[in-house]
Parts: sequence; structure tokens; C-alpha cells
Amino acid sequence: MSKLLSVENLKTHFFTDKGVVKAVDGVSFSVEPGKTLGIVGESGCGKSITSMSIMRLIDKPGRIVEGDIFFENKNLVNLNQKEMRKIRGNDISMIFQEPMTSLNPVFKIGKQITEVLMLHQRIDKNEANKKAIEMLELVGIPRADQVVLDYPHQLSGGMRQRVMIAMALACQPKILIADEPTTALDVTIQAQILELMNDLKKKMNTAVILITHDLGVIANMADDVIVMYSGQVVEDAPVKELYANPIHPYTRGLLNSVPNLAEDKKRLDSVEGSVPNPLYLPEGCNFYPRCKYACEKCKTMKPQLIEVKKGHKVSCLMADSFVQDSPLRQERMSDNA
Amino acid sequence: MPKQLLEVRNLKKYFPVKSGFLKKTTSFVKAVDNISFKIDKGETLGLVGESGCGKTTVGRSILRLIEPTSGEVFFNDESILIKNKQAMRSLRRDMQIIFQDPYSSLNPRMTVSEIVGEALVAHKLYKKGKEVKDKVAEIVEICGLARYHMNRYPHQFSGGQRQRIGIARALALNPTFIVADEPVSALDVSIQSQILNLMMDLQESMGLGYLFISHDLSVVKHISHKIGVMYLGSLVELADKNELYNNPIHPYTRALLSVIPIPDPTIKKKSIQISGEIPSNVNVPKGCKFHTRCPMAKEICRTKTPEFKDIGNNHFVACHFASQNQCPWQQMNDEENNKPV
Amino acid sequence: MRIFAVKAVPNQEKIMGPWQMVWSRFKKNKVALVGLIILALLVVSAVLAPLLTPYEFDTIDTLSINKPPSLQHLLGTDDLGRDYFTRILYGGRISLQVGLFAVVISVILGSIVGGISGYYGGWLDNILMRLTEIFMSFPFLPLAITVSAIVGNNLPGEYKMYITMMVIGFLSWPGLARIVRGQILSLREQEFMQAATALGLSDTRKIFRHLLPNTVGYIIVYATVGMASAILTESALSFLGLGVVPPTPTWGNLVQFARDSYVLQYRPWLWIPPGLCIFLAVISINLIGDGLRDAIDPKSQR
Repeated sequence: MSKLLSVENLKTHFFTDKGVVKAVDGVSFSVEPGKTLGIVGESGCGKSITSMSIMRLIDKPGRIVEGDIFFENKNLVNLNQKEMRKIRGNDISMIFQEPMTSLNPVFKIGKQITEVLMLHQRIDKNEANKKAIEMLELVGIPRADQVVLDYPHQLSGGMRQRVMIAMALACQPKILIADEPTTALDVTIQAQILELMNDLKKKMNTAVILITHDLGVIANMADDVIVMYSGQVVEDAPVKELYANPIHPYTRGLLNSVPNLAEDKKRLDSVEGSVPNPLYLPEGCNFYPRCKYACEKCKTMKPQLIEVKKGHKVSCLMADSFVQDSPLRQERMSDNA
Repeated sequence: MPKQLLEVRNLKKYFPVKSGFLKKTTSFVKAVDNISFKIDKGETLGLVGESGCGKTTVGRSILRLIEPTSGEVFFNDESILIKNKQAMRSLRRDMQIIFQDPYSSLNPRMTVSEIVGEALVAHKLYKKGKEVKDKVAEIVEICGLARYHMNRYPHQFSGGQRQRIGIARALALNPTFIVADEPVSALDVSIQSQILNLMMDLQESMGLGYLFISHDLSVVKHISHKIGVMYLGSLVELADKNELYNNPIHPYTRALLSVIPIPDPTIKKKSIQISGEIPSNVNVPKGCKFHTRCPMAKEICRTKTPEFKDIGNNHFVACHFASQNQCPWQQMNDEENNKPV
Repeated sequence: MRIFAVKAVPNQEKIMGPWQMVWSRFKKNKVALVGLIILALLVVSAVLAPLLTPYEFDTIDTLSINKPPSLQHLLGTDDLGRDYFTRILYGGRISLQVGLFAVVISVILGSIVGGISGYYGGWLDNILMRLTEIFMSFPFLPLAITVSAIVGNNLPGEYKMYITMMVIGFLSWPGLARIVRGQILSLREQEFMQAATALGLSDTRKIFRHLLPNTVGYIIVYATVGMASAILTESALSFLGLGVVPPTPTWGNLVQFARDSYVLQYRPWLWIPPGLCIFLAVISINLIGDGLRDAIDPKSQR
């Protein structure tokens, strides 16, 4: 299938007083229309910076130093701010983790949505108003015609996130970037929002980039997943393949360290140690200091993201050996047969 | 035979809402509304619920970091809510707390050894500085930090390591009971499991009792022996872990369990959506507090508060339909199980 | 229990205490460092005044009055034949001392009032804060002028210096009281304070080991900026003849010469140097204060 967005070798670095922080360091992935790409990783792995780079929202001291972001025959990296503004909110829009701070507290809900509409779609105020109410109804807000007259603080967290989604989808964007959209919400509300996002995705054929640390959410929402660690993609695979045959030791560690409602574990596996300081990344593989399987060459050689089987890319020097003798894989294969 | 460590009876904490010029109390936020439970020695009771359900207030009220409005708390069969400040201070050696936020819970101006050792000095457990240092080093190492970490300040540690410092501080006085208030919610998943493992190891070696407060049912299921589910300040269900997960009765518990995303894309479970949002705990619904969101609410739920009672197997539920086998939920569940997926 | 080999990443980060961090951040601020150097020079020259000049500040030499600058008298002499350079050095002593002690007084008062208000809260907080507001709602300079005129009226000249200190000190604490109160209020809600309660620590321990050390940074910043304004106020009062009076020299009463239009026009060495000293002292202290603020609380940077 054709690619809608493709990010190639993106590098976003921050030039701080203490040195260069390579927040995103050679990230490549692509998004297909109507599909959901999940980006998982722990705090500081660069997943949010990646999405901000796509939107070109990186501020000083940060800068995209290398790489291309292709979207509809355009390279977003080369666009100027004016051209970029046409794309933001119109072709690509974004929802954030904190629904309180991403809405302007002094404007009515309706005004905030119509503003976006009038900016991008050249429609008059009445039409925009109608459209805004329509959007709010679409995201399941009751009494939408009254809610447009409310201020953000009059709504609950879940409702605000719905408004954010309505705003983001108002111009029928081709890509929706959702950065931890449900992290601040309670589980029952999270379930509502996730279902809403899935519904809308199908209805509007929007591609979604879903950024989260929650492996459960990814499993339920994503079609493809990339796993990030210390500014790099360590694994990239379709969701079922990734959960069935995780190859990178980090991915495996991550999957085994979450307690799972569906199964009973006496003891959780854990990835020992902690994320390296981005100022002093190890020389070889970024993950080797925490890796159970690290060998000599991991300390000196940087692994590349390579395809180990169809559609499954891993960045690990030892990947081959893991593919061969993954007992989990054997098991699942026989299950499927 | 396991001995009872803590018993909470009819605990209530109402925060007054003041308004008007003369600051008159016009209403109450019923943060904790009539809660009772027991914890045995070496046992973990998990307390789950969504934000604002009062689970944190329960933990703090038990330790009297917040003074409860009424109720009784027995610790080792002693009633602690009637103790004076002095007696309470010495009792605190046995009951400790671990906080959620690994940043604000450590004093930024104190080194690790000061943070962990302070209580030892304050309670005059050790006379010489060297003895304190040695004891601190011992605890710090038990908690998975290194001896050379002792002279560092909190800002030099990652979130997970800070949480270890917080645990070390709680362990310094050799307590028998620890309130763990969302101890892993602020941590990354790979770090979460380290801390959970540490807490379970400590429980095994020191016989600690935990009150483990969390919004994450998967985590609570992993670490707890018994689990209590809270909604709007009250317990709606309380049972042994496996009993609760295999046979949830209360509609809220069922909904909660069904909406947890399982990290396995091959499992597609039917989630029971509950509509609407948690009502504010100033205007708590009359009757059953859950009736505004409950898909099976009947007339009785709107008028009569359900009793929190044992339906056998030490399984407590607060629902009018708890004991009726043929409640609508049961039927729905059965149909689902019979359907091929 | 499984124990993994701990493979430590070489840790290049140095271990620094909070104050070392402040210093290392402060060092990077070149402007603040310049301020620090200027202030150090002023302080050193004031302290070492007796070594830097052969004259006494109050020796009247009727044979050499109103001399222009020369090798003998670097900045000339005044209308009583006193060496002007000497008077500026000693004047710096007084001005800086007044500034320092006024700030000490206001810091002590402000921390105590703010601390009590913030920690105990309730009606006590209410009363103390209303009091603070009353103090703050008076225009500062007119009040200082009135108070020092009334209090200082019947006192011999050499005590006027102490009166000036106290007037400034007792009138300038409310700002700090509010800052400290705000700090304590937010610190009180931090979880480490709850942890301290849970550990069974006493109130005194909580206040002195946990609360105060965390407010020191803000107090220091306030004190530096407060010192600059205290020096200015002292100059203003002395210039008006209500602060420190001659023969005791201060930068403020030395500038008084400028009131004479002849001096203003033809003897600039009599008023430019003390004016410059006031300017340098105030600006350098303010630069240090700014630098400290950024160094102590990096998040406050824009």
C-alpha cells in the first residue's frame, strides 16, 4: 500500500549548555492511510520529540539536523513556517496528553473549533459554527449546541479530550498524531476515548500515529508498532507479529515486565538499570548496559535497523540468534497451524 | 495462623466545603465514606479506584497524616485514633508510607544518607554517627542502591532510583506496615517491575503488611492478596484476589476489569462500557452511588443504599443484586462465554 | 532471587550538592560575575580603607580647602580641607554597612513573620498578613523620611547611622514576609513534609531541617536585591540630611555637594565619584541578585 507519510533518518538534536542531546537520532518509519502506527517507549526515548518534529514544532535549542519527512510529495523538513501552518491542523493535526493545558482557558469551546475551521477551510462563521456542533456531536458530546458556549474549565477531563479530538478532526486531516491521549484519564474514560478514536478512524479513514507508553493500549489500537529506546527505533513490526515474536531484548523485557490481567506471573521480569543519560550515550548499542545478552561487539558497534523477516525490522546485533531460537515463536507457529 | 495487623472500622473523612463571606460550612466532600477492612501480617491489600474515589485519603487517614472525621483504626489491636501526639510519634515507627511522586517526596536539600538516616537519629535508635551510617548503608543496599549513592542528592537520581530512596526511608525504622500510595504510577514500565519486585521481596523477607493503593488493576492484581474496589469514597467490593478477578459481582468492578487493555493483540475482549463520568463527591447520588452510571440500575438503587455484606467466601459486595445469581450481568456474561469468538 | 550483574555506564556526572550546583550555574552568567567583581572591589576598598589612604576621614585641614585633584589628594579636598578620596572610602564603609544591617533586620523580621504565617496558618496568618499589607500600603520613602525626621531629631549625629539602618530595616520586611509565607505554604504541601510527619519527626525538626533550608535560596535572592534598595534609600535619606549626617561620611551625604550649583558646574570631582559609587554598588548587587535567582531556580528563566 502506498505510504502517506514517511520519515527517513530523522535526527533532532538539542544543543544545551551541557552538550548535545540526541533526542531523536536516525529514526525512520512510515504511515499508511487509514492505519494506526503505535510508537511505544519510555519517558525520554524521543517519541514525543519525533511527533513534534513531524509537526515542525521544535524550538530552540532543538533543531532537526538531518533527515526527511515526506508527506504527499512534499518534504516537510524544507517547508517554511507559512507553508507549514497550512499543513498543521489541516492535513496533520495533533492531540496532547493534558487536555486542560491544550485548550485556551479564556475562549469558549465553540470559538476554538470555529477558529481552526475558518483558518483552513474558507467558510463563514455560521457554517463554521454548524460544523463545530456537528463535530462535537460526532465525538459523542451530549448537548453539543450548548457545550459550544462553555469554557474549557466547565468540562471534565474526558469531555475536554473529546473536544480536543473534535478540534483535531474538524478539518478532516489525513493524519492524526495522538500523544499519550489517554494517560491523564481514568480507565473507564480511557476506554470511551479509545473506542471513539477507533470509530472515527474507520469513518474518516484517518491515519493515526499513537504515542504511548502503555503496551495494553497499543495492543488494542495499533496496526503497526515501532519501539523506541534512547532516540532510536529498536524494533518495527506489525502489532501481532511484535507481541508474538518480539526480538529485541528491550522489547521482550518491556513486554515481560508489565503485569497482565490475563495471566498470572509469580514474578515480573524486569529490565535492570535505567535509561542512559542522553548526554552520555554509550559508544555501541544504546541498550547494551541493560542488556542481558550483550556481548563484546555490542559495546563498540552501533546496530542498524534491518529487516529480519518480512515486515519485521530490528536494530540489534544479536537479532539473528534470537530469531532462530525463539521458543515463543515455535509455540505460536504450532498454535496457528 | 496469620495474625491481624490492621483493622479499619467505619472510617469516614468529610472535608467541609466553605463558602460565603463568613466561611460557613455549606456542605461536605465525602472523600471517605464508611470504609471497613482488615489486613493481616505479611499481607497486601490492594485498593483500586479511579481518581477522586478517596483511596489516597484512606491511606493518609490511617496514618493520621489527615485526621479522619470518625471511625476506628486498630493497629496490632491498639486503637490509634485516640492516641495523643507523643504516643502517635513513637507508633509511627511501625507504620510507614511510600509516595507516588518520586520528585516531591524527597527533600531536595538532603543527601540520601540524611534522608534515610534522619528518622534513626530523631527516634534516638542509634547513638553514634557511625552506627547510623552503617544502618543506612545496609538499608540502602537492600533497596538496590549502592553505598556510594549515599552522599548524593535526590536530583542526581532517576525516577526509579528515587523511589528506591523513598522505600529505604520507609524501611529505616523497621516498620511492620506500609501504605504504598501509587508507588509505581509515575514510573516507566521497565522500572515499575523493578520496584514491584523489590516490594514483594521485602514483604517476603521482613513480613511487611502493605496497603497498596493504585488505579492500575493489573499492578494491583500482581502484588495483592486481597483487593478492595472503591467508588466515590466507599468500598463496592472486597475479596481475595482470585475470587475478585474470576468472579467479580459489582457492576463497577466488572466494567473496570473489562476496560483494562490487555497487552496482547490476539485477545479481543468485549469491554463493558460504562457511560458518563464519575459524579462529583460533593453531590453524591442518593441510594447506590453507582446508580447514575450503572447499566442495570433499578428503582431500588435510586432510593436505598446497598449494604456492604459478605456473600460467602469472604467476598464483600455493596450491590442490591449481589446475591441473586440471575442478575442481568450474569446472563450477559454467560451468553458471551457461549459465543464462539 | 536473581541478581543481574550491574553494568554501570561510566558516570561522567560529578557529584554536586545543591549549593555547588548554584555556584556552577552562577559562574556561567558572565554579567553576574562582573557584578560580583565590582562589588568585591567596593567592599575590599571600604574594608581596607585605612591602608589605602594616609588621611583620617575627619581631619580638618584649613590650609588646603577646596583643592582640585592632585597627587597628594587624589580627589581633591572638600570645603573643610578633608581628603575627599578618604571620605569616599570611609563613606563606602558606612553605606555598605547600613545596607547590610538594614537587610539583616528585614530578613530576620520577614522570615519570622512569613514563616509563622505560612506554617501555622489560620487566624494567626490572617492577622500577620493584614499587618503586612498595612505596612506595604504606605508609600515607602515619605514614611522613611517622616520616621527618621521624628526619631532622629534629638539624637547626636553619630547615632543617626543606626537609626537609618533600623528605619530602613523595620520598614522593608513585608515583601520578604510574603515571599517566605508563599514558599512555606507550597513546601508544606510537598510530600516530603508528609513523609517527615509519617516518620514521627518533631515540629522543630520539620521547620529547621526541612522547611527553612528550602527557602534559603529565595531569601538570599531577596536579600541581595533588598540590599541594593537599602543603599539607595540610605543615600536618599542622607542626601536630604535625614539619614547619616556629617562629619560621618556616606555616599549619600557626599553627593549633597551637588546641591550647590557652583560645585555642580565647576567641581565635578566632588559629586561624580560618590554618585558613581552608589550607581556601581546598586547595579552590581542587582546583577548578582539576578544571577542568583537564575542559578537557584533555573525553571524561572524565561
